Amino acid sequence: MKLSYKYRRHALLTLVVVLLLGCISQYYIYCYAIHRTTDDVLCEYRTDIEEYVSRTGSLMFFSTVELQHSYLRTTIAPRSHSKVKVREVIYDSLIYNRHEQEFLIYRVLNFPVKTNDQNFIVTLILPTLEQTDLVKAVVISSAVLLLLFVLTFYLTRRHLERLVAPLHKLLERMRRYDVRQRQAVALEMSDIDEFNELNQVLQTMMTKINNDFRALKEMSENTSHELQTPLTILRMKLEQLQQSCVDNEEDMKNIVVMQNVLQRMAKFNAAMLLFTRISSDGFNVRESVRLNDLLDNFVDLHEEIIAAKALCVTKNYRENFAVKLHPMLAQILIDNVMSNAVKYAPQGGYINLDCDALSLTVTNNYNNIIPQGDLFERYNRSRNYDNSNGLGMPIIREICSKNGLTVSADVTAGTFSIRFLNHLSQETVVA
Amino acid sequence: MNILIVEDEPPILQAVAACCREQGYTIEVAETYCLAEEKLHLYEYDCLIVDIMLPDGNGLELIRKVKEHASTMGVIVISALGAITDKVEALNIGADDYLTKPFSFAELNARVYAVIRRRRFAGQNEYSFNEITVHSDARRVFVGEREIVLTRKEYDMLIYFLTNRERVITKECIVEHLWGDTMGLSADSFDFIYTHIRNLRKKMVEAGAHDYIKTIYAVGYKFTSEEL
Repeated sequence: MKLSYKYRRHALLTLVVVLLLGCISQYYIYCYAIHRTTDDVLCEYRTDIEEYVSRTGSLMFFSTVELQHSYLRTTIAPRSHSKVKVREVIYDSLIYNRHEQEFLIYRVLNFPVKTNDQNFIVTLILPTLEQTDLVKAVVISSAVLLLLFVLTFYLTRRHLERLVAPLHKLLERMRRYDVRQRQAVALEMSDIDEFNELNQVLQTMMTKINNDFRALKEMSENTSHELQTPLTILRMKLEQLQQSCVDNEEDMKNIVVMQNVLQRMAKFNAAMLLFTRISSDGFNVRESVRLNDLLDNFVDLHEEIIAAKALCVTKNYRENFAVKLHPMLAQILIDNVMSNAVKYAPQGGYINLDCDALSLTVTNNYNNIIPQGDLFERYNRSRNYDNSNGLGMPIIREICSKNGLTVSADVTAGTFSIRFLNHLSQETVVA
Repeated sequence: MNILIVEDEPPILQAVAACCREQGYTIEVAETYCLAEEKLHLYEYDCLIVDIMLPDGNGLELIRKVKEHASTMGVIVISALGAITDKVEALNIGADDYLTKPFSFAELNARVYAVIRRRRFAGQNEYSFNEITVHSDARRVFVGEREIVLTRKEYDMLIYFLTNRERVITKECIVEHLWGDTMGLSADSFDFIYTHIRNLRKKMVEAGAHDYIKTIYAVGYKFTSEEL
């Protein structure tokens, strides 16, 4: 989820809650304010009446213009029981309004008044704001506020997008960054200090990664290369020694052991060199190669050993499986896959070769010498098969990952299968 | 047969030269590009064995110069640069074969023999050893006047033995020669070697040849006429 989206969502939720609470509090505040104002008007009028009574000692001329209020109704009723104490009281009351023809809310103030000769109860009635009107007012004002906030959000988002555009560009370039391209990613400068700082940090980091990668690759290549000359001298000297001590069986056995170890070392070295070359895109010439043709070549070339193991090779080519690959890498890929199948299949076993335009599968039965765990992991080799250097399957995966192929291996009871999927369309491959 | 060996590592140079001398070839050696260029200018060789990386130049450049004069000289590249792209480049500019270090003497002998045969006789030659005659062009083998029918691998094995007479050849070398690095040193390939050598010996002995292939216990085989 994008940061801006997450922020907007969070802010919007907060805003809705705040507005809801605001509406409720606004309603009660308005209620309080309106009552307060109404009560003030009523109290003021009461004071006027009390002053009038104290000045004149009567309520006789109370209806004069001087004391009338345009929207205030006054009723004066004589008290029947003068000895009963009457308290001043103020309350809301629903009273039928003839003009509106409905019950409306009024604020009512009852208070006692004593003239020279009589006690009265004066009731002052003042219309107040209707509850529904008040709710409407609160909702409308909140809606207007919400609208303004949304508008502000939209404008802020546009502005924010412009602000974080350099960050998105940076992320896109980082996504496309590949250490094997051996190129530093040129990052754009922005007018925001934090982004520029991030750019500089990343630039420094990438330069370091590139340098480290180059150094590591060169070291691997150089080490592998430099090892080959001493290995050659050793092998030649051992061979010379071997030719000169044919009669000594014990020496001969020791020499053979040394030769085998040396040979394994040489093959491991060569495999490492190949692995490094593939990883660093050392094979960047790609041609359309039909892997099923290479399978056929392998079977033809090894027919004697296949026959010696009495292996049953069945082919089911529904279509050609063509891929874009360096021809030599294609050869290495098929040699690795097929030599594994021949090696691991038991005497009298089977190898099935199956392909169409999108996939190629090699299946064979096996005895108990398949390695455990991730077969594509480096140095994962069968304990029962000492001559493997544990780099064959990783090399297969590396070739595939560099050339738009997906490889997967499936080991079920007694059956091993390796499957290649081509992501490129056949038109692209053939073109 | 004259062979020029160009290699800057003295131990390798001496060992390769000794191996080739054993086969009866006349050997010249050069440790540098300049010396090799000079020798190639002055003398004519049947085969050039050259390392790619030389202290004062590139072996591939030497091959280019040789091939400019439409020479029939065979060229074998020996290099620590095992990368396939280097191999392809060497073969593209006219090298006949490519051997990646470390290699065995037996393999070198077989390659030198194949290159010289192809170059000097345009691939149509006859090779004889005592009662055995091999017609390389048709891949036919005769013991005296009698032809023996060999499978493809049996034939390859016989040629390998003939080009490495009187040498102990390990089973590993035979496997490597027949299948390259593909099959590796598995029990299957050893069984196969054992079966086919047994068949080869049987076919040759039945046709009247001596049993030249001797088993060296726990090591391999030797094609020898010592007991004759």
